[in-house]
Amino acid sequence: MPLVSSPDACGREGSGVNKKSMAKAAAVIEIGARQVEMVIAQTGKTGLQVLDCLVHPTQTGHDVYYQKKISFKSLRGLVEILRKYSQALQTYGVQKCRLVSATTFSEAENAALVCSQISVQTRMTVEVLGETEENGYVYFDAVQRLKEQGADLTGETLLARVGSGSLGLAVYDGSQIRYAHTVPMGALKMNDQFEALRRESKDFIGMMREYVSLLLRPFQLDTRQLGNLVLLGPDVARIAALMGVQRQEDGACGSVKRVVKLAEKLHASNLYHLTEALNITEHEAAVLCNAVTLFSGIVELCGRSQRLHVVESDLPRAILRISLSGQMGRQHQVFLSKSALACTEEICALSPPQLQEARRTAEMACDMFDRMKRLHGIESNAKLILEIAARCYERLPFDGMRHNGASALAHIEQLEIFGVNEETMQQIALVTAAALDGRVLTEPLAGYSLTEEKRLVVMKLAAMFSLAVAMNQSRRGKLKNVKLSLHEDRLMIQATAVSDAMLETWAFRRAALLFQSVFGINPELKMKLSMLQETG
Amino acid sequence: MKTTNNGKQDFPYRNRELSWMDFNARVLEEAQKNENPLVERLRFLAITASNLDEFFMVRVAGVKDQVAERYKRADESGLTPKQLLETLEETIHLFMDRQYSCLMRSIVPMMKKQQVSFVSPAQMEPEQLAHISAYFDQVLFPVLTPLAVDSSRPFPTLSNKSLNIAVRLKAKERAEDSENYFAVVQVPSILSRFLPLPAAPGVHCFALLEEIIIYQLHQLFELHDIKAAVPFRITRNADLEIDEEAEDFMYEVQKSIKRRKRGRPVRLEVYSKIDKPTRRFLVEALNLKPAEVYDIQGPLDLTFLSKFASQGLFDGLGFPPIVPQRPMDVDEEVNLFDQIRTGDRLVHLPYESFNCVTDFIRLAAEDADVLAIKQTLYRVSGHSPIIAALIQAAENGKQVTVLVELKARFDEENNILWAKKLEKAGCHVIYGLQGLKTHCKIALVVRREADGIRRYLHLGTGNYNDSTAKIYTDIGLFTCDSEFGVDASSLFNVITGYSRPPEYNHFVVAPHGMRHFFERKIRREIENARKGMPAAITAKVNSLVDASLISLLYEASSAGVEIDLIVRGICCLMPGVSGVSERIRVISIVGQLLEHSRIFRFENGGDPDLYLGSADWMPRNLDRRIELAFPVRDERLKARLAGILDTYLRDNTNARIAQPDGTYQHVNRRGRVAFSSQRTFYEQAVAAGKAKQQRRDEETLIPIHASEDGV
Repeated sequence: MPLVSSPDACGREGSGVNKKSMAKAAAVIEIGARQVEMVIAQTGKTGLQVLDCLVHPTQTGHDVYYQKKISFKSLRGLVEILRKYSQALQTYGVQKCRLVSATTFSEAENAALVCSQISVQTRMTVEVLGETEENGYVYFDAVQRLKEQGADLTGETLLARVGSGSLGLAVYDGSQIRYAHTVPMGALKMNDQFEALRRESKDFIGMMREYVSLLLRPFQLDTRQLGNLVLLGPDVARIAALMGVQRQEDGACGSVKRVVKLAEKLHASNLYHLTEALNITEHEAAVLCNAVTLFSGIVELCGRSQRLHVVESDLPRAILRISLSGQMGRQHQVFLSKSALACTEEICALSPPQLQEARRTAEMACDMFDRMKRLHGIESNAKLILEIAARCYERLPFDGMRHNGASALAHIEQLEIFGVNEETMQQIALVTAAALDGRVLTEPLAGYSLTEEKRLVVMKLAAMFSLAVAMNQSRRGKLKNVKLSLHEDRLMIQATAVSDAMLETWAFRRAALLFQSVFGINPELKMKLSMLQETG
Repeated sequence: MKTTNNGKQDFPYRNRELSWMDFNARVLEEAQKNENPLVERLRFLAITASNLDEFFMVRVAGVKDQVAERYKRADESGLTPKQLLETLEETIHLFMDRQYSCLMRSIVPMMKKQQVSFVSPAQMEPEQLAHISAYFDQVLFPVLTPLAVDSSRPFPTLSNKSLNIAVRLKAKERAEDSENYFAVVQVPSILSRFLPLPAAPGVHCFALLEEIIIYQLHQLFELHDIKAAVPFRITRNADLEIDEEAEDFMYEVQKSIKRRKRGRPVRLEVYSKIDKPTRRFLVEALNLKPAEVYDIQGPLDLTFLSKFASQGLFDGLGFPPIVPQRPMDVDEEVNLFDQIRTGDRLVHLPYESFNCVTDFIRLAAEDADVLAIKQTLYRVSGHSPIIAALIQAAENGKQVTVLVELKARFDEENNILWAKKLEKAGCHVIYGLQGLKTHCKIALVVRREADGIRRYLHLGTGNYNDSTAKIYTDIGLFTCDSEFGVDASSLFNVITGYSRPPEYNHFVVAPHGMRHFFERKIRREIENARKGMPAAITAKVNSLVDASLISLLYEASSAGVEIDLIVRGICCLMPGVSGVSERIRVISIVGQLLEHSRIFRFENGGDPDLYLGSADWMPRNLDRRIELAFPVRDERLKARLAGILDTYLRDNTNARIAQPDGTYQHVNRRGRVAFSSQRTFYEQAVAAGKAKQQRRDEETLIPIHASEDGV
């Protein structure tokens, strides 16, 4: 979907503006749990220049929490809001914009129906983003903005995002995300869950703290050397205002103790004071309190010796910043890929030799991918699937699972890898499993609903990946100087074997069947023993 | 703010209705001033009458409603509605006596000196009588409809503010024993109230329409003896009650306007020599109390004097005209967008021409790169060039969004007319917001430029009305500051219902934050004063009523903040009261032009903040309207604005100083040269215009040469 306005969208004549060179404007609408926000922005001298920001409250978050689906009343409200927003877009000549939703829609059982109705009534298509895609935008944007501010991000940095319906934590190592995990509980959802208890309980906030402690138990962060804590999410502006934060020279806003102090202060106070201080409703105040309790719990979880940062980054602005700058867009892709690989390696917990072999397999698979481009026609970002598949493959236990594609599939599909959405994760699992079974699982499995197009991509990648795995079947890197050349009816692979490569030859023949069935050409492997070369 | 149980404040607070009467009295003083030119005195007198009409229709009617509903709670000044009404009626009776005393004893003799007079039929020459008879036969008679009143024909529902003649009749056949009965003849409002009569060269005589009708009344009642005929006029309660949740809001407003024309009578004006039976008849028919009847010792409804003064009879007997000059900040030869891009521009109306504002909208309508225009309209003129430009913009394919405030009091009909025209042209018209009047003055132009979308704004203190822009003092700011642009878009998003109120960068918007903003600003001055830092406030508003702000200003005065207030109209604050408001000075400027701009200066410890806005310091502005105040950030313009405030404070001609007892006194010049702020602003504008013209004249001429190839 084109995100950027067509320069001659208004079709006016006689304009004095060179339309090709004019700055681009774009818009993003996010349907959140609490509000529908549209941000219209353009690239300016100082970066993203927000032209307009429209916010309209919505009840979709409550609907999904209580009924597991978006009510028709909310749907009608959404349609009305989106129509208004369409009119507002005309003000800036932006004719199309991205319409996204994350947790709210991904958790709604009737999301497809609602998306369809929105499309019919507004001609807008809702992109439902998974948690990892949403966080991919926000974390990247936050890191970029911290760098722009000159923040000292020495050591590891914990990015903590408390949303309305989810809570995400990620560890950034100065270059990429190394660890990321999300739980489906946010400040608004917590309020929906415990609202009834607020008036009943004498120590409601005390109880909430206990709950948060339980909620955060799966995150094992205490062993990490976290130097910075970055607060993210829709409530951080208000939290920053309540903490009275002022940015210091290193870009930090002081110590994380401020969050704990604020939580204690709110504990001792009541909602009424908060509503008065911030001119907000009691409901908004309750949600804000939950966000502070969650942040405070995170501080407790990972120790208190860190520098605190507050970044007001939200999904629409993050998408716009990335979309409007070509350079930023490329950096975002690199960030996601690097982070995905780093997280995969972290999750797979590979030993150095295993990692070396995984990288070797990935290198061969990617080389093959590049050589065969004119034959497979797949976009190059799919190489990430091969890279991750190689690492996942290495993680599988040798016995049992390695001989059972289906169980490997189920195992890999469960992995939560930052930067990789659910669909891509399925593709990775299928590609990895195919290397075990020598065939691509095409019969429907629970949870798999790949499109025909994606399925074809999986088949092609699986064929290449299987060959690459086969060429390193013994996990000893026997084949060196691998050279590939594509001919009309065959793929010629020449390599130097540093030792006997019978196992590779056997595996290659097996994988070649799959390859041939997919591409219709015969892969040939020609090996020379390096000992012969040396002696000859 | 402390309030006693019955609503009275425990600090000095002048009742707002009485304070308004004080203001109208200051206008009347201008009519009474011998040193003022005759034309202006007539105009001032007409203004007092028109003001009083409106006051009756809204404020007096409101107090009467409270009394009728037995509402007994005292207001902030400590008066119950009943007490207030009694005081008001007494004050108004005295005021109207002064009005007519001014007219009959001072202005009419002066008119006579200029050979201008109103003559009654009894005073007319035969030629003049023949003239009015002919006028009656040819023009008046066809449009007159006498309405008889008897047991089968009830008293007619007469229009608000219409002039009528009550006629007491007896049947000719049984004149002796028949009873009185009455008829009403409405004086047609479509005809001029005064008719020029034939007279000697250099002499100007006029007859009033009602007198012509009375003179020829027998033609309407041929079968009756006319026992008495007197003019009378009814003022009705005209405060609209509108169901704002109605589905068709425009229809609802139209219905309310009709209801207003038939509201309950709150005042009856009758000629003082009215006979008793006719008086009794009118009072009973209209169900009025004796205090609601005002005996007039001259022509009723003096609002006609304004039109009368503008006939050109009294050349040289008006104030020297104020002809709007080319704005010193705007070059009419250069594209306005280009100029605004190089810096903010300030325009001081009416010393500087409103044309630049209409040009701004017109330019936007014609500019191919303009994508959208958004504007608020509160009161517009009859043939508004702004409306024409907006219609053209819509026809040119721009996205045009206009908020036409249908609830603008007494402009509802006009605004409905414009709203329909704009809608027909394809503009997106919003009629206002439920429960709030949109009073802010803002125009936003969204333009596509090489470096992206840029927003151009005009923000003002006065309406987009080219007619009133010639007589109201207002200030407007042109800017393309991007943060102002974001705020403007946000404000329109709120007005159009597209978005909830945001946190603005610079705008101060009522009702969501303006009250807190002003309170915060005053409190900061209080803190600064207590720290020994420079602390001062200068505010120019039309009215100061809000008890909460008044209380805070008293606190500021006590803390050592120097406060100068320039309040044209109602001022419930009482300055110079020992221990309360010693550091507060209040002046009211009433002069040739109507003071309308709202300017605010807060000393801010030596780095003054200057704001302009659409809001007065009244609860309705701060709590029940969409109002806008905005900072002036450009240092050059800040200095200019500060200079404007200082000029007002130096005025010793049109300024009156409020006294601790609520009265106003002229500035004692003590031998100083007369200094009028309004004349000074005008002289400055003229001088700037001349200097600009001189610079242009001195520019090197560029000769045009033949091209080299000799073609």
